[in-house]
Amino acid sequence: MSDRSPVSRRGLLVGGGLAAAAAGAGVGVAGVNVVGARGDASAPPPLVDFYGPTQAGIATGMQAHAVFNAYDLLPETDAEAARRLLTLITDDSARLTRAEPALNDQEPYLATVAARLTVTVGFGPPWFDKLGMSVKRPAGLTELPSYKIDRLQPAFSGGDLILQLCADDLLVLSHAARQLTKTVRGFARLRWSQHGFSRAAGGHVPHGKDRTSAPRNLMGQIDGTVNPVAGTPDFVAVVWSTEPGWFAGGTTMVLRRIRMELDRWDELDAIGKELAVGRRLETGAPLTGTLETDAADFGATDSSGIPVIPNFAHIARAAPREETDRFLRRPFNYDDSSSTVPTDAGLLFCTFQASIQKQFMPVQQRLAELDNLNDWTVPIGSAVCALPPGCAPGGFVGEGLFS
Amino acid sequence: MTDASRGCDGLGRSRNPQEAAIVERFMKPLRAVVSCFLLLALAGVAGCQAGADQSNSVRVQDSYAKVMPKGTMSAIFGVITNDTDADVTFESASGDVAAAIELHEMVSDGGTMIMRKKEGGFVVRAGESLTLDPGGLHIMLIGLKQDLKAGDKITVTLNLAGGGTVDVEAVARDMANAQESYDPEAQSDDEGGGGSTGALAGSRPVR
Ligand code: HEM
Ligand SMILES: [Cu+2]
Repeated sequence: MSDRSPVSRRGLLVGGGLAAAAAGAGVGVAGVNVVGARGDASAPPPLVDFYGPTQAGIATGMQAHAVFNAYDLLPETDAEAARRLLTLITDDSARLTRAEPALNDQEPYLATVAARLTVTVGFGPPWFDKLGMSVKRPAGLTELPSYKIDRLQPAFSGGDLILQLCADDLLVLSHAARQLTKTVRGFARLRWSQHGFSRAAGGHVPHGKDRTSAPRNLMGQIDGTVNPVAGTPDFVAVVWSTEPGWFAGGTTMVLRRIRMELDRWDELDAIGKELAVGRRLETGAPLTGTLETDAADFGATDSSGIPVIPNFAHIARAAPREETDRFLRRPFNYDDSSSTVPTDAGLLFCTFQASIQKQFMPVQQRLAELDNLNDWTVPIGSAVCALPPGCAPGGFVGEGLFS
Repeated sequence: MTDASRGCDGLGRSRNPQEAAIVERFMKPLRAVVSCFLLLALAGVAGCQAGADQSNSVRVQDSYAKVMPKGTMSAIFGVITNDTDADVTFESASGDVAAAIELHEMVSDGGTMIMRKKEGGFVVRAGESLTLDPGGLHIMLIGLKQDLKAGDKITVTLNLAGGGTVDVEAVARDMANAQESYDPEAQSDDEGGGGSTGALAGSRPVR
C-alpha cells in the first residue's frame, strides 16, 4: 500500500519522546489517543474559566451546543474601535462564563447558570488588513485554496471576526449569543450564524465499564476518536502556536460546513457504510480491531490480499503521513431540517491547529483528491480565523494586537 | 511552551487563595475605593493602605454609561457598596465629561415615569449597597463634551456630604434601555442647558 501512512498511530504518540511526558489522565490506554473532545460520565462542573494563557472552548471537553457567528467590520471600525470592541467582548464573556449577568444584561436571570459556557474569539484574514495590522497576521493563518469538492456558499463562508460560543444548555447559549450580538452590533455586521450540536450534556455511549466513546454524528458514526488529548504535550504541540511574538499560545480554526447526503446514505447497507470510513458503526473500532481505541492497521489484508481497510476509506486517507499533518477536531452536527426531503443536515467540521498550511491543508488536499466519504458529503461553507492567546483578568482577548 | 491544561480543560479548577485574590482584584476593575479621608472620618480606620482594603470602604462597582453622542445626555449606572459602619450620603457629582452632572431618580408623574434631581442625594446605609440602574437612580450627564462610544471609559466623582469623594469609572455600553424622558419642569428650573434634547430617547447611539 503505497499511499498509506508511514507513521503508525502508536509511533506518533511514542515517537518524539512524548509518551513519557504524556502521563496525564486519559493517556496511556494501550498508547492510543483517547479522545480529548469527549464528555465525561460524571457531570462536569458548570464553569469553564474564561481567563487563562490560552482561550477556552478549544481544549474544553465538547459541550452539547455551539453557535458560530461571523461578522464583517463596519467601515468606520478602526483599530481603536476594535480595541474597545475586544474589551467589551472580554467583559461580557468573563461575566457570562462565570454565571454572572453582563453589564446592563436585559435578562439577568438567564445568566445565573453557565452550563460550561465558553466564548472563543477569532480573527479572519480580513480583520488584519482592514484594521491596518497586516504585520500582526499570524503565519499560521492561511486562506484555504478552493478544492474541487467544494460547493461553497458565501452565506456560510468567510468573516472578519468569528465568535465560537459553546454550552451544554441551549437557553444559556442563546442568551449569551444575543448579549454578544448587542455588544458587537455597533462595530460589525453579522455575516452568518451557524448552530451546531453534539450529544446531550453528560450523554455518552458506554464502552465497557469505564470508557465512553466519542460523540456520534448524523451519519451514525462515532466521530472524534483519533484526536490529540487535552493536557498532553502532544496536544500542546499540535494546537498552540509557538510563533514568536504576540500570537504564542494562540491557534487557528478551520470551520467547514459539510452537508451530508443522508437520503443517499440511507441507500447503503451497514457494510458499505463501514467500508467508506474504515470503522465499525456499532463500536467505532477500526475494521482491523475490536475496540474504538484500537489503532487502525492500514497494512492488514484479508486472505485474498485485499486491504481490510480500503485505501479509499476516510480514515486511510485522513490518517497522518508525517508528524505534522494533524489537528484537533471538534465537530458539531447541524440540522437545518431533518424533516424535509432532501434532508438539510451535516457537520460543522471544526478544527484547531497551530498552522493551517502545515497541518490542515495537506489532509484536506488528500481528502479532496480521494475519499470514499466524498460520495455522501459536500463542503458548502468554509471559514478560517486566528484565535489569539487567552488573557488574564484585567486584560482582554487580542490585547497583543495593540502592543 | 504554553500549558494547555490551564483554565481550558473544561473541568474547572480550584484556585488557591492567593490566586483567588488576584483574580478578585482584576475582576472588579471598575471599583472605586473611598478616599482615606472618608475612611478615617467615618469609620475611624487608623490607617489606609492604597487600594488594599475593600472590607471597610465605600466603592462603586460594575459601572456603565449609555452610549450617546456629544452634546446630548447620558447616565451612569452601577452598584455603590458601603462597607463602613456609618451611613453615607452623596450630595453631588462632578467631572469634566459633561457640562453638568447630577444625581437623579425616576418618579411617577401621573402614570409616566420621569426623572428629576434626587432630593437629599444618594444615601447608602451602613453595610448595604445601592443600585443605580435604568429606570431608577442614576448619575445624569447633561451636555456630553465628547461622543460616548461603546467601550469608552469615563470617570466622574461622587461627592460626600461633609467632604470626601468616591471615583466612578464607567464603561460606555450600547443600550436599548435607559430611554427615560427628562422632566421638562425640573429641567427649566434647574439647568436650562439641556433644551429640548432632554431625553435619552430618540438620539441614535454613536459607535
Ligand atoms: C461530513 C464530513 C466528515 C465525516 C462524517 C467524518 C467522519 C469521520 C469519522 C467517522 C472518523 C473516524 C473516527 C475518528 O477518528 O474520529 C473520522 C476520522 C478522521 N477524519 Fe473525518 N469526517 C468528515 C470530514 C473530515 C474532513 C473534512 C477532514 C479533514 C480535512 C477529516 C479528517 C479526519 C481525520 C484526520 C480523522 C482521523 C484519521 C485517523 O488518523 O484515523 N474528516 N472522520
Ligand atoms: Cu436623569
